[in-house]
Amino acid sequence: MAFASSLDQIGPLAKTVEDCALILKHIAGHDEMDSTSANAEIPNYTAALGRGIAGMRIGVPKQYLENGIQPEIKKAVLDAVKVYEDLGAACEECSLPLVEYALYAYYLISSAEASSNLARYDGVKYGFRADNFGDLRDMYLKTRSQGFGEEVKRRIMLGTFALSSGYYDAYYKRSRLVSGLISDEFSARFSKYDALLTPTTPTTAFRFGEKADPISMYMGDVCTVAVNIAGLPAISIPAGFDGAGKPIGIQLIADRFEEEKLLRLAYSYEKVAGFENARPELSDVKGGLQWTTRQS
Amino acid sequence: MDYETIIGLEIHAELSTESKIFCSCSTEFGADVNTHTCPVCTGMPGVLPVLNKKAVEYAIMAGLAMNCNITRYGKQDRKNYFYPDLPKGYQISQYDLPICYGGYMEIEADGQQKKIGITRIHIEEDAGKLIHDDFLGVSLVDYNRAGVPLIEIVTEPDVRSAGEAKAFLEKVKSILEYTGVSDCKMQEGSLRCDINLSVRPMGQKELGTRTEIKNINSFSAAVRAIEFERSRQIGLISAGKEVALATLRWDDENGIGYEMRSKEEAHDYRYFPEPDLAPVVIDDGWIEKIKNSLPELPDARKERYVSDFGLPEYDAAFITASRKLADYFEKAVELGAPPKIASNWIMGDISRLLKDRGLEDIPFAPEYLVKTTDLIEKGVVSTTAAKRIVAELFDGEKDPEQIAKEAGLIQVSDESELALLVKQVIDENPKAVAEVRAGKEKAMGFLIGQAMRVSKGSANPRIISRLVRKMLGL
Ligand SMILES: [Zn+2]
Repeated sequence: MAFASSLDQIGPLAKTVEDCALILKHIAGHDEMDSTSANAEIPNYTAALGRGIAGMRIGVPKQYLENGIQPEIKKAVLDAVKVYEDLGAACEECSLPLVEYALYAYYLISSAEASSNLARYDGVKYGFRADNFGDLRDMYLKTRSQGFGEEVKRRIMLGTFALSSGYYDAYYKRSRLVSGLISDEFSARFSKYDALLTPTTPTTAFRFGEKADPISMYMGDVCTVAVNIAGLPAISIPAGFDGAGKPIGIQLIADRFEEEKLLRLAYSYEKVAGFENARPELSDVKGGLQWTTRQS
Repeated sequence: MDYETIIGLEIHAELSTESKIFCSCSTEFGADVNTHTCPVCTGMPGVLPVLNKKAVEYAIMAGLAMNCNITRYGKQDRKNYFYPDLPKGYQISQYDLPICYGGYMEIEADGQQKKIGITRIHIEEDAGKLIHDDFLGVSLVDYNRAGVPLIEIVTEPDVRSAGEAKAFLEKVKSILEYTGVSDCKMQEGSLRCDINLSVRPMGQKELGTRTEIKNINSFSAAVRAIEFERSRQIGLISAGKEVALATLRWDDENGIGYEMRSKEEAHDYRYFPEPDLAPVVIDDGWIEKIKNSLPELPDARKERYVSDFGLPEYDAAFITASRKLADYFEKAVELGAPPKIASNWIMGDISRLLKDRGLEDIPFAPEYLVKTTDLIEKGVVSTTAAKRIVAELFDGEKDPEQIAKEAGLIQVSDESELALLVKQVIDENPKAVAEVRAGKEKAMGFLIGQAMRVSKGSANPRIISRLVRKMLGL
């Protein structure tokens, strides 16, 4: 079911980089039922995995390591830089000054598109329909008020507002412009680097229900949304655990249609770091469950 | 005070594609309810639209025939509103980058040539149809029409009268039929129009407040709606009142426009680019190919009929207004019918019978018309008898001579047989004979009429007339 059509993208979720490459080989390519899918040649991702990364250039955008990043995550990224340098890649710090606007653009665009995509859940044809309604308008109101949860309603309202006449230019259109600028900024970096290395999340997992305010929830996406906004491929790979034993992920971002580079970089790191088989262990501690690390 | 009427038109035409605009369902009219539907055109969760290339091609074709610029980069947009006939809760249309823009068409109205500007032509999908069941007290939806491709043609506010509006609509219909872009069947709703109208005192520069009239289902309804709304607005202004910005729904049966929505209730459609579809990229080669495939358009055909066939302007305009009639006419001429005779039949009896029977197509092939006119030419049947033959051809194709024989319409041209008949009439009418001899032409007519009566209308009147004169030694 569609949420934000221009940003929605399917991708494999796998235990190892190789599994990921195997699945991608089969799901990539043009789908005649989806005119937004590119009609590009599909590389042999698995064949490329072992080819090594000597001579590849990796940029580390400093904005991703600044305020709000959990220190253990920042350390994991810097450790990965060392791994890549040992493998013969050239790493250096770089800058993406516009990337901080990606989150705002992302939430405006995704809410706008979601408000339209969710319009079909109106009680007319399928799904939930409220009991006891008067006229058509009342059926719409009751069905949608009762059927959607709080967060969904919040986004529908936000998106509807962003698309309304008088606000469209200031919100939706501006978000689109910002997306274009962010995309251009990434493109410029890819003329110099094969990939960019960043954290996947600013913090490790928080407890269920711990964050009540929606803005801080949205902040959890700060490292990954720019990729959607700019229309780029990215991969997240396991990179160890924090002090509480909760998993840390690092993210590699490449230029359009450069998934092969991402998989090679991820595979090389995985072979050295070996986190793909690391499993945290559940143990009873005061105040609830806590993760501990177990190397298997 | 004299008032000037300012009219802009929005015309929706269903395209003649085989399948819908975003899925492969059939566009056939009149199928059982909800049989031409699939997950895409019923807006099921998780489906994606894929644009029908032919719909874009038809839009380009219409644009070229209406002197428009064709965009090289178009996009589709969502028009968001809730209504049960709209399964996705939005219509995929085009907002700011339509396929065609900046065109015009020449019309002839009130004896004058005039250019009407065309702002844009865009593609969009049709909605379903609500069926209100008063007996059960429910409304049901038929989604067969949902996703049928449409073009919307929007004019500049260049139209100044009901006559001009009618002439423009007729021209649009004829061009869409010629190019095969739409079959323009009004009764099936494949051509519909909305009218934007305002009035202002003659000479005033600023425009008056306009109203939009929807639900116009025929050209004559457009004329009536324009006249109604023009007088209503003039009435308000003359009485010192203001015209309110509103959308009216035209009730043709009662000749009244009802207010559907006022300005306060106006929709905010929240247009935004359709993220499920890629942009429409059109290259010069494609446009060129479509341009070369355009058929001869009505104006060019009309000129050719005047210059090559010697048809009067009026006949040529009448016949070329409809591609079907023009194709029929041309085939008949090709088969040997004299052009003026063919055009007389098509403009006269055939058009009248089509109208009487509510038909769009002449139900018999041009060969049958040509055979009928041949029979007149050869003196086998009279023109009156031929009218009966044509009427019978509307009931089914049948050899005209066979029809004539079975109905006893064959003229007797055998002189020896007719001589006997004439002799009988002369013998029975000595008084008239005497008058003819005295030079009274009227009596001559009486004698011929008598002979025709005796022959029960089957005699060839020219031969009868010659025989009477001969026998009386005139
Ligand atoms: Zn369908």
